[in-house]
Amino acid sequence: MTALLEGEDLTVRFETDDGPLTVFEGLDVQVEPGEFLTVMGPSGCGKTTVLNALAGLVPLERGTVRYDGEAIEPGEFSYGYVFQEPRLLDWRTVAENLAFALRGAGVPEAERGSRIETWLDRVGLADEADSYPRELSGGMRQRVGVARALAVDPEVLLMDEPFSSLDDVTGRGLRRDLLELWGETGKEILFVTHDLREAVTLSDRVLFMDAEGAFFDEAEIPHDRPRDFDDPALGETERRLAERFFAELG
Amino acid sequence: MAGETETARTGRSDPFERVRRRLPDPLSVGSVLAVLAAWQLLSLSFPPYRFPGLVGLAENVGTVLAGTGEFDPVLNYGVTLGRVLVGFVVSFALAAVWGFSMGLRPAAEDYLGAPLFTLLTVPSVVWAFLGVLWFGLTEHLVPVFVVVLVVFPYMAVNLWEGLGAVDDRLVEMARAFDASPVETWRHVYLPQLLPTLFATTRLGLAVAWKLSLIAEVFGAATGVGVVVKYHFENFDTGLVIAWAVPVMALMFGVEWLLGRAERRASRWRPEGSVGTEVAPE
Repeated sequence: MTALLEGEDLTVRFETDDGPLTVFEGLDVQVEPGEFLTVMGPSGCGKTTVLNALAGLVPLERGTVRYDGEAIEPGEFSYGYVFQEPRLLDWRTVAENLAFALRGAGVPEAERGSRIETWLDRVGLADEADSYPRELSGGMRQRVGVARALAVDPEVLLMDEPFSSLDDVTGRGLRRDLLELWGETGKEILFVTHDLREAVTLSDRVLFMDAEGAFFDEAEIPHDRPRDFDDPALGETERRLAERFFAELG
Repeated sequence: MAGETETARTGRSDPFERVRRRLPDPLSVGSVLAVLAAWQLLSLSFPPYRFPGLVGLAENVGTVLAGTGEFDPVLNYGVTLGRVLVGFVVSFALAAVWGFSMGLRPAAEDYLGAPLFTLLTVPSVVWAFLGVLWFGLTEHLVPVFVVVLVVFPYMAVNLWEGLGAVDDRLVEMARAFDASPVETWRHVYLPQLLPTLFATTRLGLAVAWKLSLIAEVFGAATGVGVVVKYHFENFDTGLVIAWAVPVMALMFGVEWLLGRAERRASRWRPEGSVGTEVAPE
């Protein structure tokens, strides 16, 4: 099976006042069709930059991005991005926030209204189309972020710790809904987190990144879906992986 | 889902609140009355030709408004306002190009920054004298020249700083969703720049109006500055003050309009939360 989205030999360096800073060098990553892949690592190791490099939001010093086997410019594939913070336009209504993304994706005007309605409904915010983001709770705002990313009907969903700033109950609700949406839409998801429990609960496969920005391990999460978040077997997998993971990180 | 929907219902104002907001703020009414009372009290300790009381002031304003010939208020205020507006518009355009170039292109910051800060150090009187020396007595050129050279650097610095406060994360979001440059300006930059644009407009108009008068004193044949200078040379304190009053009233009106426009533009902010996060996480 060929990977759908593939990064090869990815190298990102930033210029800083103290000279060049290597975020990662020669990194390979493959997202298989229909896969929920998670990049897991400690804070500041460069996980987010992996997403941003593939998405063309940070310049690559070296490396190739391939989509469906063909080399492409970074970001020149259909993706939706869910950020760590909702990153909504606070001065536009919820519906207008989605419309902003739809215009960017070139969705014709006639189609936008129904798409917005559909996706707000699917994330449970059908009644909030005319609300301003500041009138919503943190969890609701992040739902808007998810709806915005899915509304552009992307092939791949890039998610950068989207639930890490939410409280436990809200985060749980959103994770459950995300898995449901993923099941319905069959998108590939490339997910970033520093939370092992979250990685185990959501993913098909987890890539472990060390503090130097290299992948040092990889694990398949074999559990059946739909998963029960309180399933002790998931907890057992988490414990086993934690040993491997933290042994390496020392 | 449930439970979340009840939270953070802020920002919907009730009708009483809306009526109350339409009435003038009691505090500002009080402060205006206090200034008027202080004026009247102070005037009692001076002879009327040095510092007129409120009645004398009102009479003088009446004289100003009834003026004819070279003291025609419509002519003089019209000419001065025209210069203020032209100076302001030119300054704004120049400041926008200059300030935004500095803000958006780090390479341009050094090149454009140094001349800007040099301009800021030149006293406005020097520009006024230079204007007259270079251009002579002119109808519009000298006042507009002085206004632009003094006002535009302030506005440029303001706009440059305002651009620095724009949230880069939203700009990145716009890129991630393939927003066009026009879309990005319209929905990401401009709304965040609005407070800066309003502040810059206020500053620009206020300074432009003051400078216009100074420039007129030195280098024009008509305008409020010229008339004020005439009354000054005749030691007519009452009329010097009275000529300023209508413009003060006008600037008050402009300020009120700007305030209204700004509140309209910020209606997405829940009440009482300007600049802060309100909704619980």
